[in-house]
Amino acid sequence: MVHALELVHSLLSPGAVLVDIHPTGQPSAIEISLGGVRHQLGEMQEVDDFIEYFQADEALVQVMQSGLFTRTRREEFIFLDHAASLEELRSYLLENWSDAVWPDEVTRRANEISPPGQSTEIPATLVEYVSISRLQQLSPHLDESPSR
Amino acid sequence: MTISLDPEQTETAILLDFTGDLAGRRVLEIGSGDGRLTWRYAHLAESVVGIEPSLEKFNQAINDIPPGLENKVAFQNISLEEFSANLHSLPEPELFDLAILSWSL
Repeated sequence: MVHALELVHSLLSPGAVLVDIHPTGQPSAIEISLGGVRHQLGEMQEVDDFIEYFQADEALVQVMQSGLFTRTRREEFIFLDHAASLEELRSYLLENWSDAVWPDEVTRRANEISPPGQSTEIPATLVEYVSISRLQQLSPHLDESPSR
Repeated sequence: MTISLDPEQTETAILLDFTGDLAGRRVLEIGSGDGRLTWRYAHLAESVVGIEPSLEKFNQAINDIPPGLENKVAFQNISLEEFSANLHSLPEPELFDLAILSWSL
């Protein structure tokens, strides 16, 4: 990851900007909405992707420490994946998110709080927690003081 | 299957807040995937190069380019390492004003 950031640095004009977007590593929540009330059914489990998110954070710190970039801003935001049904969300995640494990508790909780026989037909949402950083490329050419 | 990703455009709004004005800027999007995020800001930039190592996602992006962006967005099915090597092999490489690592670091 540090190598990738070094490559990005070399592709940018002096003083240009890098914006990095990646998940925070906080488990994504699975929710359904019943009668206007949101119910969290559980959290998506990941085998090891969350480790990569922390490694990404660490790589950003390393390239800042090495003087390639300086971070000028960082925030977190929520990214929502909406599905027409809980079953559709489950299928989508298992197909597109190879590291994801659908927790059994989600189906159980959905059955508990939904009208009989409708638990898999209720629209569902995955709540992802995402970090965004703005880094400015530091160019040695810009930072050097004129020789005297 | 109909999954709607970020229909609220929360990501787009915060991205544009972080990038500032894109007018006249050359953008490199690393991990451009199927173009989901690209379509949301490319019209504001001077030009966008999206690089995506997955052939399946690259093909999807190529097939889905919205009208009006054909001459503004260019996708390459290539890794960051290969792209960098290619660019730096040019006599006068044209560098970028903004890079976006789109869920790809």
